Amino acid sequence: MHSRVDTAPSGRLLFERLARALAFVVLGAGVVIAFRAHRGDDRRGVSRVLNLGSASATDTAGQVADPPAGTPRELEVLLRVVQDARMAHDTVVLPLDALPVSRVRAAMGAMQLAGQRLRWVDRSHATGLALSVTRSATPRAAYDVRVSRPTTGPLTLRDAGGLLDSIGVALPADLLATSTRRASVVNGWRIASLAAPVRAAVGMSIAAQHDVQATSPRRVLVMAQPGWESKFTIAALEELGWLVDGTLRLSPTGVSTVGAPQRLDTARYAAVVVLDSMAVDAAGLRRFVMQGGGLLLSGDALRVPSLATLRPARATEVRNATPGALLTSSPRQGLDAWELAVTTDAEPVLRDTGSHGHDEVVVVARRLGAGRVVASAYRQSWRWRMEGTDDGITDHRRWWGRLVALTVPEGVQVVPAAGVWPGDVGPYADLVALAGAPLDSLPMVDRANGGSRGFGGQVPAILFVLAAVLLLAEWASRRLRGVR
Amino acid sequence: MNTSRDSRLPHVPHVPHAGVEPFVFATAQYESGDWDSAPLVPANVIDSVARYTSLPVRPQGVIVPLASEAAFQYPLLYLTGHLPVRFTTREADILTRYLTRGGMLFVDDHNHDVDGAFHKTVREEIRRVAGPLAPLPNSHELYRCFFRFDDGPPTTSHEMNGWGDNLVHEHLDAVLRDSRISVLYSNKDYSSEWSFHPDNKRFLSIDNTKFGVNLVVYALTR
Repeated sequence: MHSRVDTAPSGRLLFERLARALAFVVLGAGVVIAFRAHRGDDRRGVSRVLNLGSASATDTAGQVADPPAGTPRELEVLLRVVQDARMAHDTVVLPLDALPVSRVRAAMGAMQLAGQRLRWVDRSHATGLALSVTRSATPRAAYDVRVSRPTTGPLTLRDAGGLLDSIGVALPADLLATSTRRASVVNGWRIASLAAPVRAAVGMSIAAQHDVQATSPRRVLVMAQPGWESKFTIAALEELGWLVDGTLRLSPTGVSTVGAPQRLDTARYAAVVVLDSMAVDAAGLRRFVMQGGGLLLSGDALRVPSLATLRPARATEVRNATPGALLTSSPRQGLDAWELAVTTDAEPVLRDTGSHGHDEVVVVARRLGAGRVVASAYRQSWRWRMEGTDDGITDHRRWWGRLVALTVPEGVQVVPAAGVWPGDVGPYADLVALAGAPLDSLPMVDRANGGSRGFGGQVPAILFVLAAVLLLAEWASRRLRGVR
Repeated sequence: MNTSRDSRLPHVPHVPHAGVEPFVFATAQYESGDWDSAPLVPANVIDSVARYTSLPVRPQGVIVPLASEAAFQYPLLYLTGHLPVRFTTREADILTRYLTRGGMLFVDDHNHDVDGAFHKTVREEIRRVAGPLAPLPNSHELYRCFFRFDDGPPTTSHEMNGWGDNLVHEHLDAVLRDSRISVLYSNKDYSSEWSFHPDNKRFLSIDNTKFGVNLVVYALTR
């Protein structure tokens, strides 16, 4: 009796043997590939493409809001990358539709420094925009604003108060153009006053400067003759934290110096306080004020003839102190004061009730160039401190602090905003500095290198399916010829 | 707050000046002891200030009762004596407020005796109103703010004249407030050293009142 096997055609037997052998080979290959795919050493160079979302440093209105207080979604995504040990050796590729905010840029930079390979693809069409705002020591303006931007698109400049309408027309002398392909233009303006933050915008790109450089130091120069008024004024200012310089002439050949007096310059002094009728360098004081310094003329200093063109008020005659008033709730009535005739370009800042019951102008201010001149009518204010009530020492100190503060340019008051990233003045350049230059497109080669979302990641499954198909075909062939 | 003036206070008219108001040398008058033991000192110091500096100075000094708020008009006070000192409650209160507001008190021991009654009692009183005295370094600004005294306070001819403690005191003592001298204390008996008529300075080879000028200049400028 012949078995059915013996009667089978040799071609069919060959097919079945070939299918069986091939199935085992494919199965083995699948197992090997799947095993190797899970070995960490074989995962180097794998690229992970992450989508960070759309939150960015710009918005369509050209007015960017301050970054939200909470953690942005982009940071959460990056945090997951850092916490995932399996991705430690991957190259993370971030396609960016817009420039990320400062905190995300900082996180990208930190990841780079920590060894996490990170690349980004520029889909933002952002422009290389940079902003510079500095104090300008010129008589014509207080701030120098410069913006570097591409040639295309209108530029808007804003500060905390809104669109800066004091820009005027860009000065031709400040307009520069380069001949490179990515041509950039530097715009420069001189602006009398502004309030940080300052933002420059071209299209969707914004550069911001939150901290306008404050060049005015907390140092004042006192010009006075030695006496109780100069002594206690200097003491009050020092108690308030001002650094005080001064030269007090004691004799034709002898002087007493306070602090370390140097040449009058806005780089060193925020303000000059003149207390007495004395010889002063009026031209130097005028130059100082025009360049942005403050000048306080108090008491008899309003009678200095050479300062006539600077002073905001003319002192006409002395109004005598009201006896005993230093011990009342209106202590300034207890001080001698000059009657002030306010000049046309000056503004009264403070009026006190005089001895006759009507208000008298006692503090006057005027702008001169980029600086201010303030006049105070009171003489011998030290008596307020020594002869007044026990609060007199505090009130006297506060009085002088207010007077000097009136003269000081705003720059001294500018405080850096909390959480401000310096790179905001040029966010694109900041991103390149932190995360490197962008890729032109997504890395196709890396993507085919076995990444979880690429074709390479499906090879073991395809091989397993192929092995199963081959074994099924072999089994079907045998069953069809009656063999188990 | 009592604003009345003490009847014993010499009248000092308060007149506005076109320039800086003149410096007025004020001697402190206190209830206990002999506050007026050196009546020629004010004139001598005033003479030196006028002679060596261009500071405006009133030709006559004033005597200010420590119990009067008039003391606040004179931010430098000179206090001396031989006898025990006990400030009244009113005097201590005025003096405490005076020093808090920035006034400066110069106290000189007319006995130049560390065992003397004035020295012992006045230091206790100073401690009560201003705090403990501490040695003032001889490099202090006081010794170079006008004339230079490289060795510290100038020695007086009265320190070893057979009276007192017969010691040459190397330094002065002081109470500092905000790095400024609030109370300056001397055992060197400047009250005797400077107690002569200013006209007699011409007989001196070296004017021994120059340190008084430094004292006034320091008070006016620091």
